[in-house]
Amino acid sequence: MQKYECVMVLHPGISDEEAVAIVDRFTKSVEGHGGEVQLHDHWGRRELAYPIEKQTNGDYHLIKFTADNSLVVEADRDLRLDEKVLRHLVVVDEDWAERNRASQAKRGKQVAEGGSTDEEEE
Amino acid sequence: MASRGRDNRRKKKRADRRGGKPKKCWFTENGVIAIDYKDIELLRRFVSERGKISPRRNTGTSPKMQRELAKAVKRARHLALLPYVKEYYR
Repeated sequence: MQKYECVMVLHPGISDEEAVAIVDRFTKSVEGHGGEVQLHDHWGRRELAYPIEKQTNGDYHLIKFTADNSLVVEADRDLRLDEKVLRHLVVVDEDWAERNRASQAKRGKQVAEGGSTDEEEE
Repeated sequence: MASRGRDNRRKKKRADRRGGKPKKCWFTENGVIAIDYKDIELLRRFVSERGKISPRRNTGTSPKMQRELAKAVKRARHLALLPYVKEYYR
């Protein structure tokens, strides 16, 4: 089991129900493989940096989940075949924010410790 | 110790040629160890107006973080969060 995250950019012309259906299908396929969806974040409609399939906007969804690698291959293909998905990206969740916070906390602590030892020496 | 001396000399030489002290890596300085492709505000600062990734010689980013940065920018471009090229109206 590995943590992954997927960002999908949905076609702006589709209805809310269709968007929900795509996310649901993805969720079901994750759960069908013994995985678990941990977070679904709807970023909402954003302007695309460049037009894709003549669209200038896209509906962004972020999904974090755990799964085996066999699922990723399948989910990836599903998303690619769906014409309502303009773009998608499935990558290993590297816990960016979490790791940065930890490293910054450590740094802050190191600086503080350095300061205190200096005082002791004096 | 000898190698340390050589290192310092090399660093000094490089600094002389460029006429300034080497810039520090922003990411290392700020305790950033992982660059998130979703953090567009951050990535924008390391991308030129045209949408190119800024070279290390301009930003002073460490080699390790420059590789991470490039990966993040490329992922963001794929998702249309950042442009591949930004065209100007002529």
